[in-house]
Amino acid sequence: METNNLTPEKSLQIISEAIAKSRRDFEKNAGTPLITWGCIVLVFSLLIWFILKETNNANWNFLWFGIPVVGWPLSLIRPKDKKKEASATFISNMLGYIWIAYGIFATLLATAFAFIKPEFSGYLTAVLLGFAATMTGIVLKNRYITAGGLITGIGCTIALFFVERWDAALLFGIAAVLNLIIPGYIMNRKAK
Amino acid sequence: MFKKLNPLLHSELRLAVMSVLVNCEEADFVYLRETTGATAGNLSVQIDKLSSAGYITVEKCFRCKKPQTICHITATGLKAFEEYVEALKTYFK
Repeated sequence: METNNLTPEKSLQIISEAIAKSRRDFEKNAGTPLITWGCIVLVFSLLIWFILKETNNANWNFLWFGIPVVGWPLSLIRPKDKKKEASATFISNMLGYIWIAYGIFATLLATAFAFIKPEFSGYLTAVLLGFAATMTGIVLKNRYITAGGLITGIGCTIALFFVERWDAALLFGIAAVLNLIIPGYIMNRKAK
Repeated sequence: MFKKLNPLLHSELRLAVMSVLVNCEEADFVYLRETTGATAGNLSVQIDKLSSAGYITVEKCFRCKKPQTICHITATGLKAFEEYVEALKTYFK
């Protein structure tokens, strides 16, 4: 491969291909963590929604803490694809930081509101989820993910006024499908 | 007037390596080999040349109990790459 008889056209082609390939490799691995987290959030949301409906006891909101407890160890399990850890692009790092920030702020908000107004926890964390998804969509230049995030953020804010208190858990589950599972599936399908 | 292209970067494999590293904050040896399609021996030689010029840094470490060679682009390397691209543009004007 070593040669100095490169034409400017060939040089440009090498640069373009290398950059495009790095991006494709990133996209190839980007959807699975979203789907994993989305499924965990969905299962917890449905479970909590059902229990709250049945018992009408706000203390069951503490079950939300099960999401990071289950999710963090699971997110450390990586597929045996060497490319996953082989490179870190600016985009992949930026997305990682966005979702870590979301995790921290969502946990803080959920903790505070679990003691003050437990019924609001679901709405607020869902609005934050919409924000994180919107940022993800903007970074990835993906209109669907951006729109999903915006719809979630705006929809959950409006829902605060209309939806029955315990149904916030159900809304959070819907937000997980809209902002994590479907985008993750789209990203994985696009990368194939 | 065509600008002179940096001879160190004006090589298919070295340019490919630098292009990957410009896009990535870091990349390991195996990834670079797969991305560029080069042989391990050739890639190793070219990485040494880029490292000697101060364009990249090479870090050897262990991840998941396996030895890994991680390459990072340096500020000098980034500047050289940008200058190369600027020089390249003069060929298309």
